[in-house]
Amino acid sequence: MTHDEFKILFTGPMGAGKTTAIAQLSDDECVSTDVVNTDLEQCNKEMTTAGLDYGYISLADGFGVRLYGTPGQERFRFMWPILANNAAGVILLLNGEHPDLEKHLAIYADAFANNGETPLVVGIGRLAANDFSCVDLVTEKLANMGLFVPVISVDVREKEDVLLLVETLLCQIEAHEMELMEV
Amino acid sequence: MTNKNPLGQAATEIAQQQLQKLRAATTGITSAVLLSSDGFEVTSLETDKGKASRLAAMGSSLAAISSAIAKEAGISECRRLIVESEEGVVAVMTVPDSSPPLVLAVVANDASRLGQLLWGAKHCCAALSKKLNK
Amino acid sequence: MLVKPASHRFYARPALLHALNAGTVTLSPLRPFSESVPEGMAARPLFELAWMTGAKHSDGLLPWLDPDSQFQLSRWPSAAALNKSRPLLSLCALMTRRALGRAQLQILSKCDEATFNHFLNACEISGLLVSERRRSAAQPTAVAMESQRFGGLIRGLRTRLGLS
Repeated sequence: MTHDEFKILFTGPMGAGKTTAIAQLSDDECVSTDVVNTDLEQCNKEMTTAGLDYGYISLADGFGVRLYGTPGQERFRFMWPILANNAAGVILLLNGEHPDLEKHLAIYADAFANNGETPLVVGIGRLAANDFSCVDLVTEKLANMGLFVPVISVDVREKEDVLLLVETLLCQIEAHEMELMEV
Repeated sequence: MTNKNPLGQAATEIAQQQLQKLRAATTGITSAVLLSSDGFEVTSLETDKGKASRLAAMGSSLAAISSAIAKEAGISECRRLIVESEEGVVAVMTVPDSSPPLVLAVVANDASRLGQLLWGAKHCCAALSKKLNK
Repeated sequence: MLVKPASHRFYARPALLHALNAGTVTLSPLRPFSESVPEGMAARPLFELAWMTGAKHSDGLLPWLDPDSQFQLSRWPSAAALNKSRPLLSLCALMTRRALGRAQLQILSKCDEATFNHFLNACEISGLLVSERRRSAAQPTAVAMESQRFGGLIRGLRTRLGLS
């Protein structure tokens, strides 16, 4: 059975760039559920997502791709499975400067990777140009969890970087689908 | 999960008093939480703290999504959202002119008294708006 | 430049990294080095060095790699080096999931032979390649890719985003 729509989920902690990444890809203005952020200690941003981000990319012949972004903070964890339901793949965005990076990685990988069953790509933002130690560390941690997925240093304000994440995810989805097709 | 109340002590006490008045004036209220629009509990009538903080987070998501759908539908701001079932009602409404923005979530176990509940909650929000803006 | 095979890294100053990327450097054979890494040298994954220098040599597979083996990757190589090439990204996605034969991999990833060999060699040198003689029962075919659940959608999305 072929589908006429599929869904890509963006997740990660607050401030990692989910809303920005979706806005880069979406045809029209995204639906946002941004509210005033009162937890400036956690992240020094004026606004934060309380519900979800939603964007859409329309393709030819009435087909389309739905882009969903989860709210970052753990208190909104109840939204995660609702949004993750039927996602073809997940892009996990992390903040390379955040002191709790490893903790975030553990939480989101655990919540969304589905033990390697869900196609996944990890993007790390705010890394210095020639510094790959963070990418290396995250790759190592994921490998320890049995997750062998790409980890890419990105700046989601650059559309090319977001496109790279998407292209990589599409390759992951294709490889995953191939396994499903074998009897 | 730590709770970060964005209002100070005095304001929180004022808010608690308003919630208690609401409960006294309206039958069937089983729970009420005043929350920041980003999902932190300010104060509540709920004795189970875990439940209060979950209601706070969920209330904020619902308020935010309602606001988005109202905008999408071209009907401007969402004043309140009502979740109705045979056994009861959850009402989520914004406290006007609050800074930081606040939302009231009320749970009642008697759906037949919806009108009274909504009136009481609206009145509560108006009082909160007035007292907390001083 | 310093190479630390055990930790899959090499170290070089930014100017040298740039020259390596541009292909304007000839490397001499490695000598042992026992001091600590000097200031100003950036650490990069070994795969990048293997990838940047590998193209200069023959187009074939490294002599000790058996072309009839099934190949798999123990982890993704550095994404930066792959330069957004879809055949390479496909190869990585396929090979991190399971071991596949050379012919299969080339068909499924639509990767040309020279690039494929270059990639396999670079993975081998940087310690990411796992090869085994055993043949597995089911072999995915090119047809499988086209008739996937999301086949048409993925094609459409690539076109729409200019990734084709």
